[in-house]
Order: sequence, then C-alpha cells, then structure tokens
Amino acid sequence: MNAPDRPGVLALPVDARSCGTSPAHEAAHLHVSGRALYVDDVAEPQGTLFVAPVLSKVAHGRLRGIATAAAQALPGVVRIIVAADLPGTNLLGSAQDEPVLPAETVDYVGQPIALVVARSAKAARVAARAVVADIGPLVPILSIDAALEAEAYVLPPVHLVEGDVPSALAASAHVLKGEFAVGGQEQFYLEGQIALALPGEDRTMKVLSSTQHPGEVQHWVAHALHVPTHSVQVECRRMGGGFGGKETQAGQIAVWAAVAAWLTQAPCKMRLDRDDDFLITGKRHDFIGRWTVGFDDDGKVLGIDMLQAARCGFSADLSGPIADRAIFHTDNAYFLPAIAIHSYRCKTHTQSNTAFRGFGGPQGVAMIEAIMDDIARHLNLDPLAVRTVNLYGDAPRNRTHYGMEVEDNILPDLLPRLAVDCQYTERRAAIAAWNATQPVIKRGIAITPVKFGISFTATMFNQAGALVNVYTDGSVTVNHGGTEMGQGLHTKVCQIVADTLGISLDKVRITATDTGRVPNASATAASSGTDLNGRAAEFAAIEIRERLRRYVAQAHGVSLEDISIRANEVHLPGKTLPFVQVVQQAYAARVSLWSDGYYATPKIHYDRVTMRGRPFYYFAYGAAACEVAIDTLTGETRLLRADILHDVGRSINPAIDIGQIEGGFVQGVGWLTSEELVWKADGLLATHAPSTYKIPTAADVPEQFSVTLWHEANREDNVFGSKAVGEPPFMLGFAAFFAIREAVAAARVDSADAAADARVSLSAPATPEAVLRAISAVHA
Amino acid sequence: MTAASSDSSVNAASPSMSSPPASTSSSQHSAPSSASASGSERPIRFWLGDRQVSVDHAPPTLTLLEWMRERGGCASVKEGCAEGDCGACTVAVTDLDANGEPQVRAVNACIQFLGTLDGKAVQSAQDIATADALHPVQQAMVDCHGSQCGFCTPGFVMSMFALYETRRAAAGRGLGGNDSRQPGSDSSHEPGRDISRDDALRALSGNLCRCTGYRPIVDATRAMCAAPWQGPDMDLWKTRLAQVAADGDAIFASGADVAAQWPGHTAGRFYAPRSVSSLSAVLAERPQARIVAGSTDVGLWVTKQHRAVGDVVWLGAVQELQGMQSQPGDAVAAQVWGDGTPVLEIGAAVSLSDALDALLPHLPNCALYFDRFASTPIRNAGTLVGNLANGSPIGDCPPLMLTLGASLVLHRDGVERVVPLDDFYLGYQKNCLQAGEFVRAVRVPLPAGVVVHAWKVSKRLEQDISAVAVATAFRLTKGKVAAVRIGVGGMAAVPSRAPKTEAELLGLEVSEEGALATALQTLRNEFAPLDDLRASAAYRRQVAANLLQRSWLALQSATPPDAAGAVSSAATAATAATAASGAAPSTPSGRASSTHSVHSLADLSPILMEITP
Repeated sequence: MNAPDRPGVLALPVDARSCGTSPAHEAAHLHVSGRALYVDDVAEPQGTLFVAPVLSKVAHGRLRGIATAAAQALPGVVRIIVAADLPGTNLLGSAQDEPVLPAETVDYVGQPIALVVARSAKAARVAARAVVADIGPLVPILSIDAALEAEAYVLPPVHLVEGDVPSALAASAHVLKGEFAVGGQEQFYLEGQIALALPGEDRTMKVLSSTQHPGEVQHWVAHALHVPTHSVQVECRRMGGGFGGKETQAGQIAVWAAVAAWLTQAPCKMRLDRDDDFLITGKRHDFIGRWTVGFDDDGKVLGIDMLQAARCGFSADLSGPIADRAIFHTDNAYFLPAIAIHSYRCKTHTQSNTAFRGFGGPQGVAMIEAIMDDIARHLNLDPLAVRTVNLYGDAPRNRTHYGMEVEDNILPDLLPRLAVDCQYTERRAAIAAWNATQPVIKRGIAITPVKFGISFTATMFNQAGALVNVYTDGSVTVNHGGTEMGQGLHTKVCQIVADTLGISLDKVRITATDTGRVPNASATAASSGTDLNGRAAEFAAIEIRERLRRYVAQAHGVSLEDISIRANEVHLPGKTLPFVQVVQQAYAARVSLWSDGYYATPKIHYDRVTMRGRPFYYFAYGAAACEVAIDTLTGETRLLRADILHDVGRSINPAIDIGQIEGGFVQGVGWLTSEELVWKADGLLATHAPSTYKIPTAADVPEQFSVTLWHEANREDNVFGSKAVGEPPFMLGFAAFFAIREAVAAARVDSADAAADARVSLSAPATPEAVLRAISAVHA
Repeated sequence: MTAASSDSSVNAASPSMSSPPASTSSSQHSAPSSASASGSERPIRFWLGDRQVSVDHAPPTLTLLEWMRERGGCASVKEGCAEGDCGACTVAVTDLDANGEPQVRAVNACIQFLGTLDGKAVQSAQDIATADALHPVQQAMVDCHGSQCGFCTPGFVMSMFALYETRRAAAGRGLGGNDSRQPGSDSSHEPGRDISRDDALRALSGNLCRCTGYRPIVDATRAMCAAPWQGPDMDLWKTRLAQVAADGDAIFASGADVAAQWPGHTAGRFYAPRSVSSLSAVLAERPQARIVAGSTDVGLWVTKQHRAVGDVVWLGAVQELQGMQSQPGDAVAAQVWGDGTPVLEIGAAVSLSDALDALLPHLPNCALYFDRFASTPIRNAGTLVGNLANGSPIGDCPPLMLTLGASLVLHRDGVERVVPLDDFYLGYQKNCLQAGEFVRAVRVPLPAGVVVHAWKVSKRLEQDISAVAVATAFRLTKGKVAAVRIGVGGMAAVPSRAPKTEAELLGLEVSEEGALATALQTLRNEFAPLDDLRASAAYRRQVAANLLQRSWLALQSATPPDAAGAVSSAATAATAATAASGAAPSTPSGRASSTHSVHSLADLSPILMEITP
C-alpha cells in the first residue's frame, strides 16, 4: 500500500477548492445534448451482428430438444446457438450454479435457452420467437412459502443468535407475534442490459459492457471462452443506471454476446428488449419475516425471535451476502439485547434475484421497523417515541447483534433535530384533528431513522486501485476501478484529484473503466465507490504532487514544507510558478508524472462462521419525516411532504449527494408503494414492462421536499471527511410507508377490528388494493 | 397508455398476423392499382434537425426510433422500453396547427411509424444545442443537476423543449406587431415565462427517471424560460414545412428488398390518403389494410409482438378528419338527453390532447381524469376516436363517452351511419364495423344541467392503465335523479354501461341518507371483472361502487340544501386549521373548478375534501 501519512480526520489535507462545492456531473453537458455515449451509441464496426435470446416459456422442466430450422430460415438470421455449441464452461455465477445456456433443465419462465444471431436486432428478435423448445414440465416452486415447505434453498440456512432469547421473551411484560412481507423490486435502469463483443487477434476478446463490475465480466467471459483472463478486456465508460442490477447480471449478457462473437468471429451486440430484461434478470429479493417480540411498557425491545426468508430465484447469485446484510440490518438503528434470526435463502423457479441498492439491508430494516410500529400501536404510543427509546446509546446499549460496537452514533442528536425542524409534534396533532372530522381522506405522519453499515461485508472486496497521469501540457487523466452509473463517482474522483494536485477541475478528465488499466477491481457497489476509488485516486495524486514538490524543492533550493500547489500554481517563497511550467520542467528533469494509488479499508474484519466481527468501517445515518394522505374509497395514497436530514460526512459534492438522497428516497418510496411484481400461476412475470410495472413519476414526488445535510465530517478517517451516500437514503422511504400505516390506523379507528387489535396489517408494497384491504383487515 | 390507437380492423375475422412477409406484398405492390386508390409513390420527406431527409422503400411499420438510431445518425434518441412508457425516446415534432401556426409537440419516437413524419420536422436533443452553447433547456438541466446517469435525459430535455417552444411561440404571437412594446414589459415578467409546477409536471408526465427523484428536473423545467428566448424565428418552420409539404396520397411502399435492407421487418404499403374519398378507395382496394391513427397500440404489436401488420393506412393526413365542430344536436344525443342537446363532433385524426382540451370546459370535473390519461406524448399522438375504436376494456375514454351518450359516425365509401357507442362494442376487441367501414368521427353530447364525473384508479397517478374507471352523468330534478348514465372500465370484456345500477338510481333523493346502498350493492354485483396484475376482481367490484359513492357525495355537496352548508363550514375549518399548522402543502381555497390543478392530494378528490358525514 502506498498510502502516505494520514491526515487528521477533521483537517483537510489540501486547499479544497473543488471538494465541498457542487460542480455539475462531469458528463452533464453530454447527457443533456444526447452526446454521452452508452454502449449502444458507440459506432458499430462493419458487419456487427445482433443477438437475441430465446426464452423458456416453462418455469421448470426437462429440455428435450430445440427446433431451430424455421428460425434459421428467416431473413437475416446468421446462426442459432444452443448449449452444445459453447466453447468453454457452461457454469457461471458466484456459486457456479447457472448455465450459460441450459443443456438439460430449465429453471424459470424467461430463462434464455438459445441465442439467435442475426444481421439486425429486429431480425434476431423475430427469429427468437420462431425457435421452438420441447420442454417436459416438472413441478415448479414459485413462492417463498412453497420453498420453505419443500426446504428448497440455494444456500444453507443461517442462524444468528445473540443473547438468551427465550429468557428475554419470558421476562417481557408484553409479547407479540407478527409478520411482514416486503415485495421485490425491478432495478429499472433506463438503459437496459447490453454488451458489444469485439473479437480480436490471437484468441482475444474486447467487450464494451454496461456493468458495475468489469472485472467480473472479464472473468466470466474468459471462463465461457476458455481463455486466460488476460485475453479479455472489458470497458465501461458509463451505464444508464445500475442500482445493483448490473453488478453480476451484466455478466450473462456479456457472455452471451462474447460467445456469439467467438463462434461467428464477428462483432456481436446483445441489447435486451425491456420485456426480455424484466423476464431474464433478477430483482430485489422479496422477503417474508415472522417474529415473536418481547418488550416493556415503554416499548423497549427485550428479545426477538425471527424467521427471515428470501426469494432467491433459481440460483445463488449474490443471495448469500444479501440475506446476510438483511441479518446485519435487522437492528436498523436500535439496540436489540437478545435476538435470534433464522435466515432462509429460498430456491424458486423464478429469476435469480440479485443486488439492488441496499443489498438486503432494506429488507432487514423493514422487519424491525414493522416491529416498532406494531409495538407502538399495541401500547398506544407515538411510534416516534418507541423508535427513540430503542435507539443505540451508550455502552452497553451500543453493541450490535453481530458484535460490532456502534462508535459513531449520531442518531440521538439527529432524530430529535429532524422532529423539531419538521414540526412533527404540531403536525401530528393537526393531522389527528383532520382525521377526526374527515371521513374520506385520512392523513398520517411518520419519522423513521436509518443506520447503514458501510463496507463490503466480504472484507477482501474493500480494496481499490487508481491511475493518475499528468501530461506535459498540464492536463490530467484519472482512471480507477469504479464505474459510473449516474451516481457521480467520476465527478467526485475528479474533484479529489484536482484538489489533491492543486489544479482546477477542468484540467482533469476521467477515462473509461478498463480492466486493462486497473485490474481486479471490486464491483462498484455497497456505496463504496468514492470511499475506495476516491481514496486510491487521492493517493495516486499525492504521489505525483509530492514528486513535483520534491523536484521544485531541489530545483529551487527551498525546503519542501514551503512549497504548495493550489489553483494551478506552485507557490514557493518569493515566487509563483504556473503548474504547467513546473510539470514541463519536471518532465525534462525525468520525474515520473504518473502514478498508481491503492487503498484498502482499515479496521474491518469479520468471521463468517461465528458471524461476529466488525464488517463495517463506519455507519451512515439519516432520518426522514413523511406526511401522506390516503383515499379510503380507493386506497390510493399521496405523499404530501418529505423532510430529510441525512449524514454524508463532509460532502465532496453537495448537489450530487443531495441527488443521491432524493433519488434513493424516491426509489425507496416506489418500492414500498407502487412497484409491484406479479407472477402468474405458471411462473410468468406478468409485470414485465413499464406499462405494467410502475416506478414513481415526477407527480409522485411531493412539492414540499426538503433535504438537509448533517453538519459533521466522518468520524473515521475517510476520503476528504466524506461518507458514502449511495444506498443509505433508499431506506428513508420507510417514513412514507409507515405514514401510510398511520393513516390506515386513522381510518380503522372506529371499527371493531381496531378495538380488538390496533395494529395495522399492511405489508409492502402499499398498493391501493393493499391499503383498502388493510383498512378493513384484522391483524394476522 | 397503450390503449389509444385507431386499430379498427376493417375485417375483424381476418387477422393479418400470418401474412407471408415479402412475396405477397411485393406482388401486390407491383400490380397496378386503381388510380384513385393510390397516387404515385414517392419518398417521405421531413426535417431532421437542420437537414431535409427523404426516405423511400422503408417497411410500413418502421418506427421513427429505429430509423433515427440505425440510419439517421441520432444516437441521442434512446430506446428505454419501446412501448411509449418511459420517454427516453422523446422527440419534438413540429407541424402546423389548425390556424397554420407552427406547433411543437413531444412524441414517443419508439412507437411512431416513420411515415407519419411526412411533411413535418423532428428534433432531438442533439439538434437544439449549437456548437458553442447548450440550449436554455439543456443549460437549465445542467444548472439544476437534473441528470445523473443521463440516459433518460435527452427525452426529458425534449419534453421540456416542446413546452419551451410552445411558450416561446405564444410569447412571439403575444408581442405581435412592432408597436406593442409596453412600458414595464420586462421579459422576466412575461407570464409565459412562469412555468407552474402543474404545467411542469404535465410536460414531464411521459418521462421516467430512476436516478434523480425528479425534484431537480422539475426545478429545471420551471426555470428554463427565465433566460431570453432562444431559437429560430417561428416563421422559419412555415418555410421549412412548405419545402417538405406532403403531396399525393400514397407515401411509400416497400417490396421484397425490405428483407435485405431491414431484416426482420415485413414489406407492405404505407398509405397516407389526404381525403376521405381517397381513404375509402384505399380501403375498398385493400380491405386487409390496418387503419392507424396514433399507433399508440398498434406500435406495440410491432415493437413487442413483432406482428406482421401488412399494409398500413394512416388517418393523420386526411383533411376531413382533422377538425372539431360544434353541432346543434343530433338524433342520438336527443334521444339520450333531450332535444336540442348540443354535440361536439371530433374527427378521427384529432389528437387526444386537442380533443380533451376542447372537452374540458364542458366537463370541468374531469380535469384530473384527463390528466391521468396516459401521458402528454401519448395524448399528443393518440386520438380520441382511436381510443374508442380500439375498444380495449381498460381504455379511459370509453367509460366517459358511454356515460355522455356519445355516438360514432361510421363511413364506407361515401355512406355514413351513426351508431351509439353503446351498440358499437360486441365483445372483447370486437365491434360492429363492417368490411371497408371506418370511424370518421365521434359525436360527444354536451347536455346542459347534467353533472358529469369520471374517476380512475390505478397504482400510479400518472401514465398508468386503469384498474377501474367509473364515469357518471346525473341530471337532477328537485333533488331527485331524473336521468343517469354510468360507464365503467376494467369491469368486463368491453367498456360497459351499468344499466341495472342506473335503474336503481332513478328517482333517488340525493340528500337522503342511505339512499344509495342498494345501488352500490347492485353495482358491486353487476359485473364479473378479472383478477389480474392490476387488481383483483373483488377490489374492482368494491372500488367501482366506491367511485359511484364518490360521485354521489359530490352531488350531495353540490346540491344547495341546508346539509351542504354545515358540510362546507366544517371542511373550511379543517382546511384553515391545516393551513395554519403548515401541514398540508397546497390545500385549495375552493373547489378545483375547470383549471388544471391536479397534482396535490387535495386535488386527488377535490370535492371529498369538503365533505363530512
């Protein structure tokens, strides 16, 4: 590791002129003019062919044969590829449990069973529909409960036990059983999955891939082609959104394109039609939780025994770490003195569910927040009071159920600050008055906190490399292993490099992520993009800066500490030199003007067997207050107002951070309200396009929408004092969901059912139908 | 959103799905046809940015998006869904309005057939920036941090641009002659420069963004007109459009070579007749031809199902189908609502945007319903007649039009008959059109003294397909129901009236407590709706009844007697209390009347906010 001496946590190491300001996204001018190139926009080489998948119409069955002759005869068709044609391994995936193309068994409706290569995308898609598969049906497992019943799992169950749960429950003044289900979610990146594979000389392959993990794509393609890793180069300039959906599952698309290119020796592009993308690729895992919780008269949790079951789909993919993170985040912000979590990773004959912003964290948070809500209603307390009384605090109430101490907890300050700023108490009273007189429209308000652990829980992934090149005209390129999916990573890295070198942002250009430049890079995931790659780039820039300073010190006979670089100028006693002049002189003096940088996150460790350790470097915090209204005639809901107070440490780019917070929040609200995945009885996903699957639109976002950044820098030593921001705000959406529960409770208040049990039986997503049902439902 | 097309098959019994791709059409194509049926073939001509383009020998169902990306060099136009639902492909299309003035509208390139661009101008995001500077719309997006991944951005920019150009054109007309400069007419205070939140949301209703949470995009939309107007003189469009003006009837045809040039597409003719007589002639000669107006449904047959549609006859160029005329009355309207009931006749080529704008002043309670119909780009492309002729059970216009007692004017070769909409639908996607017959227009009665409501329920406010839609029309006499019509969507295989429920309602006293119970029960049982991804049958039945209750509550609150006084004072108190606490964002000071004020909760059900038990 070439990390230099660590700067103090709160003192910035350099004259930060760019970091802390809000320059536009590095590609904003290209986005708005349509000149930003995505994979499909790169000029196609002459003779490029197009690949379309043939999808299984059967959820589970024996593949007895594939009839291709009719399709082969259609105009423009070049070749049809089946499992027997594959040049390399037919096993992919993190657990090597997914076929490139199935040879014997099909495992879900939508599984690609053959590939059509044709001279146009349209021709390939038309011909794909003419391929006929002979599949002998087997009995599919299509729901979590059916999988639990059959004990069908993609990975063995995991049990985490902390404390003496039976005793804690026995000693509790109140014990409740409850359950909560939370639906899956389609990533709905606006740019669908795509790869362009370009065969090269000497058994090499270059792939332009829309992927969060070029290194993984490189490995997969190499395996599928049976060539060494060095024979495959993967490049990604940008994605049109990722959200986790292009972490592993861009790999299959790239492999299919590469296999086609290998077999035809022509450039091959595979761009999934939106419906095919929905049908083929995995989504956020839907979960069910069932629990027994014991608590005291204040609502303080004493013990929980909980089952968590996730729909993983037909293969493991990332389901193991996702279900693990659900376990880690079942505390959300709360101290749970005794808890047992039994986590089941259910195998179903559906799409293989995968990463999606939050990576299991939201599903874990869902369970504990539903518990907080149930406790509050059972005790007739303000849910905010129950949440507050359960927050992590001082020792011994600062230890998570996986043995990590919460050292940087700011929620005891942050949560009440938001409540005061948004006038929670006053508005809650006003809403109660409203609900007392309005029979049709009921309103509700809720505040929920979030605490999210930052780091890959697999410790080895917490490393990154970067490359900074200074050219003799003073311009700079930076390259790192992270990928740009809209989150502003490249912009922040450019800001970090500019400030570290003491030059203006316009001198720094980011280049496409490329496995040939920075190898073995981790996925851009786990919110860690800037933490890891930004710091690696900082270290690379520091290395060059220090070489320049040493050169100037030597050349001008001044001491090192008297030399600084800022605003494109090198300052030394009595003299100021343009940066470019120093660069040229250093070059002439044979000083290296480029450097790598490497960073590995300190302090973290985790034992998978004992499930104890410090998997996270630090936590990011936040809270949201949402007010909603529901229409008791239809169950439709509206988000009226949202106030967010969120912790990004010292913000490198406040506009980008606020964009992440707003976008994450709205995506979370969508997950919990309008976004519903519906499978038909035969296993076909019925909601496989935006016509049937409804992500939020502009009109779903409240006019009163306030986001405030918490004022403190990261208490851990992190790049420029910042904190990660990608995933944590997603969970702020729970405030909207639990505000809907408040409104439902208000609608139920006069009913006999409510008198018997004040809890609200409403799972997610809270579609109009679910809300209307909950108004009259008795708690399960 | 996909239910707005005119796909009225002239012969429902002979689907063209399996027509052989090239050979048949090719031979038809080479066979000389009767002179009136097809004029000379010629390329289609349109403007793409600053260049004039001419295309011949393209498949009739080639989409604008395919052509732009694969031949037109327009990588700025993105495919996000290929079904008109995400807006990544949004382009601005300019043509001349009824007054001969240029109008700029956002449409979805992914389901727009290329032939429909004949004589128009198309712009995408790469066309509006100069070499040196971004367009003000684009600059506003940059300044407001309105892009993250950037993939949806060009589409958003073009939706915004269409609004920008509409405002700029209006400002230009408003300034008029050279002596109209008035003191104090500082540009920043021109009313056209202020974009309300509702106007911004309406403009953006067809665009999905998964990254930003929309707030910065709405900010950019509201800010984009603040700078001095930028853009060519609007008269430039008149000159340019004159240069590519459509002439002749048949636009283009493609033959056997289409498979080589556009593999995967099928050959056929694209007809754009310019008169009803030409249209009739084409239909007489090619009874299998698919009639298309907005192609917001047929477009998906092509992009999603890859169906071979065969020959396409596009209604958009037929002059007689463009207009809307107020008429003193007709027989059907008289039968439904009494003699002298005025009628608005809306031609088959009139866009939903124009048709709904014309209807709104007569149907002020339907403002939200109209805004919830698909999205702005879909309403710009789709037609009211197409939505009716399509006959989808979940189309949004049929319930309202059934309720109003609309009728369709069916035309075949110079002979017309008028069919009440009630009699038009025969079964799922079946109607009473005969071979060679097409829907020339819809006649919408606008009866006096009738209270019309329309309610739609879907998972999302905007751009979603109804789970349930209910429209009601009541005429009261002395507080009693003297006449009532109810139209429902999502409840049966076809859009339907609810005659049993209507019968229960006749004669009821509006102010009487509990009077409605039997009618609600009847409506719950009158249909056997489907369980599907949008809703369960049970939910649909319950909500249909609840929406009737909503109309009833609205009638009660609109009816003067004493009860209403107590009602509104309580509501006013509640509203005032809320406003004082700062809790509710935009509580309306009064009932949302005819204005488009639709996106706050209060407007979700404006009337019900004022009702207490």
